[in-house]
Parts: sequence; structure tokens; C-alpha cells
Amino acid sequence: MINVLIVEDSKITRDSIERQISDLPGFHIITSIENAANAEIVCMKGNIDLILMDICTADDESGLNAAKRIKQHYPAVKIIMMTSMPEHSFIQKAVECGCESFWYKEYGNEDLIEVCRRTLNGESVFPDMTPVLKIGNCSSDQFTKRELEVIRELVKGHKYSEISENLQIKYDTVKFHVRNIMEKTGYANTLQLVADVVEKRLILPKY
Amino acid sequence: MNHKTVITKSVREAIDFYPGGLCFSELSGIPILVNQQMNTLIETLTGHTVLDAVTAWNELQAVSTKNGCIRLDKPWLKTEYFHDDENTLVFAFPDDHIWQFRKQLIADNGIIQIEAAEITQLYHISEELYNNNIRLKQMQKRQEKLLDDIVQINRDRELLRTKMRIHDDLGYCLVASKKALTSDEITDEVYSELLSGWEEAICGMTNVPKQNRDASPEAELQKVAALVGCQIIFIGEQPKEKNALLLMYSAIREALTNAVRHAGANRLTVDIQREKQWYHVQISSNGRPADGEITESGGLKSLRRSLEAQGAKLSYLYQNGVVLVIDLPAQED
Repeated sequence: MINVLIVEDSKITRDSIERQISDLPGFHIITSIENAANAEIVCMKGNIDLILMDICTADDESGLNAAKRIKQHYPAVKIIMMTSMPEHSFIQKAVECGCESFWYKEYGNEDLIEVCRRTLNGESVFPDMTPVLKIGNCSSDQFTKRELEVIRELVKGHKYSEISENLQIKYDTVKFHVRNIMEKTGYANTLQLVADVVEKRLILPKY
Repeated sequence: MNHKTVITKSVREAIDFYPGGLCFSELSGIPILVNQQMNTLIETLTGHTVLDAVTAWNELQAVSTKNGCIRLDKPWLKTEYFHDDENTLVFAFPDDHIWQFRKQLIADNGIIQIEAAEITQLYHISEELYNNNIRLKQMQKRQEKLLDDIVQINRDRELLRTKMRIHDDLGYCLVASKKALTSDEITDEVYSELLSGWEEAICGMTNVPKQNRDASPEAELQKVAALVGCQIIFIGEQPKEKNALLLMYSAIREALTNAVRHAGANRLTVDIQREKQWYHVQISSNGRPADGEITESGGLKSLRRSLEAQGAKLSYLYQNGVVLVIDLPAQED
């Protein structure tokens, strides 16, 4: 019997996942919760085999942080991260937290049950890439890694001098990256850029 | 005309050509040199030219409006581009020009200098900059709010999409049912199609939540605590402020994890006292007493970080085991 913990704060999605899992022979749902920070407590029971973990959960608790803590104490528990957010850094962060798999609720064609089966068979199932979004005149995959870091800093409301300090790059280099980003997107100012990336959820700095 | 006269006249002419206003006087106020521009400006503001520099300055200080001139005291004059002290005065003149008057002591404090500089352009640019900065700050606040709310906004959008789909499904069922009922005969095929349509619409409807959350933070914490065989007992009124409440739950979670994992506890007591601007919370368990003092690492370290980032405090009491003490800032009633 595979014991499953579901961490999902959207009732519609949670109900749908619960239905799919409970229909599977050999699977048993221990409980479903809305707040990822409570997941580690459930794991103390010692009988959880698989966690289906949403990233943005109730009370702004991050599923990624919860997964990291769980992997430290219960490395045998397999974790599938789930999200409907196209945030560009989530896949990489899930890998760094030691999660086995990653499932996009809305973007991929992958079936959740299939991802569960493959994960339990020892596979790591990750999407090839984050969803590509249109940001101004360019697509999100046209940004370099550094440019995405600069955009994240702008989203946090940091000034150029603070970005320079946080990313350990020269002030002029920050200006250079911002100029390139503006050229790519065609936006007249950083505020338009920030509004667009936040609206399209390319960057969610809280998680 | 001797050499000295030539020099004096030249100096006079030169400072009269100077576009700003200049006045040099002895400490007593007796003028040494006043240029034409300064006399014109002072005359507009006081009704006479500079007869005594100290008196003229005192008269300027008393002017709020005179002869169409207005003394200016705007917030952007307090920015880094202007002097903002008792020795600086700014006036708008009827010709829309703005002048800044500044008094200072020069020549080892032996001479008073009053200088008038036309700052119309600087004043208007500073006003624009000041207003733009206010707008930027407002936009930044809105941006922060949007970031805080974006996940919830997204969730609400998903919910709305589902409700719209159900609305469409129900509409379709109603139209199809009306059509079938008003026709002469309902075939088995139409009947089963209608039935499955209604079943799907009703099934979809029952899955739509009336509210976003099933359980309150407390209910969910009690649920997971019960799963690991622990009961949480609350004494006192819980914080009403969301931030304080969530911080308290973070601390309870940490205490619960440690008490169950390391001390085999099955009961956690959370004692909350409201003390003016603080909530004083003590979290204790019935687990085995710890050996020695607590060494903060991992969970406790990160709890302290998040508490202190929001102005809360964390400490420990050692009495029949470790008691976690947190002080959370409260809003005034």
C-alpha cells in the first residue's frame, strides 16, 4: 500500500487529485492539507510514502521550503511538486530541494497518475522547460539567467544600487542588463516590465 | 579721476551686472556694497531699498505675502537641492520668477553676506521630481500589494473560470431539456444524453467550493497534531492580527515538531497573554525534559529569523522542560 499526503490549498484541485488517487488500487490517502508547513508534522508519523506538494499554499507557505525540510529528515519520502504557476525558477528549486518529480497542473500534457507511478518506480519526472510566456515583444525563454535575476530584483522593488550589491555586479552592469531587457521587451520603463512579469506570474519572489 | 575711484566704480559696475542679488554689510547692518538686483528685489518685498542689511533681513523674514510676492515653504524645498534653515528664504514674485535669499557670515564672521539667486527652473524641476517620487512610492506600494495578492488573485480566477463553465453547462442542460419536453416524443437516446448532461453539470457544481479554505489554520494544525498523537491546548485569546497569528502558528509548529520528535510529548499547551502592545505566548509540552540548554539550529534558527524580521522576540524558559516564549507585536486597541 502506498500512503499519500496531499498538500493543496485549492479545493477544486484537491478534490480532483483525491478522486484520482483514491480510485487507484494500492494507494491510500493519509490526509489532505492546505498549508505546506504542516506537512513535516504529518511525516513524523513515519508512514508517508509519497507527497503531492503544491508550491504556493495556504498562508503563503512555500511547498519548496517544506519539501527541503522533509527531505532532510525523511529522505525516503518521495515528493512530487505541483504548481499552476509558470514561475521560471520553480523546477530548478524543486531539483535543489531533492524532490523526485515535478508536475504542471495546467501546462504539461503529462498525466498526474502517470507521474506518480513513474516516480514510485524510481524515475524522476521533470518537465523539459518552464512554460514560455510572452513578455512584451519577446518570450520568456529569450531572457538570460542573469537578466531573470535582475528582473526578480526589480520585482522586489530594489534600486539599481541595491541590485548591484545583491547580485555582486557593477552598477553599470545592472544598467546594461536593464537596457537589454528593455530592448527585448520593448517596454518604455521598468514598471511596465514588472507589472507584466508579475501579472503573468513569471516571477513570484515570495516563493 | 584717480586709480582708486576707477577700481571702486568698476567693482560697482561689475556687481550690478551680476544676474543675482548681492549685499555685503557690516555686522551692525551698515551696507558696504549692494547691487541693483538686490535693491530691486528688496524694494518689491519691503517697499524700500537696503538701508540696513540686518533690518532688511528681519523684514524679509516677516513677509508672507506682499506686493504680489509670496513666501514659499513647500516640501520639495526641504530636499537636498536647497538649503533648508533659518538663514534661507524663498519667494515667488509676480513675474513668476522664484528667488532664494540666503544670509551668511563671511570674512571670518566680520561681514554679513545676503545673496539672492533665481531658482525658478530648479524649483519647478524639484517640484516635479518630488511629485514623481511620491507617485513612484505609491506605485511601489501597489506593486508590493499585487505581489502579496497575486497567488490569491490567480486562485480566484480559476474559481471564476470553473463557475462560468458550470453556468454554461447548466444553461445548455436547461435549453436541451426545454427542447426535449416541448417535442412530441423523447427518444431513449435524447433521454440518456440529457441525463448524462445533468449528471455532469450537477457533479461539477458540487465540487465548487463556497469558500477558499476548508480548515482554519488552527483546525488544520490540530488535525496534523492529532495524526502524530498530540493534542494542542490553547489558553487565552489568540491574536486577531493575521501576521501575529501566523507567526504564533509557526512557533507552535516548531515546538510541536521538537516536542514529539525529541521528547515524546502528547500534549502541547499554548498560553497566550495580551500585554498592551504585545502578545506574550508560552508554549510548553508534557514531554521529557531536555538535557541542558537549547542549541538553536535548523528550525529554531529559522523561526527566530522570521520572528525577529517582524519585530517579534523568541526566548526560552527552563522549568520542567523547555518552554518556548514568544512576544508578538500587537496593534493598539
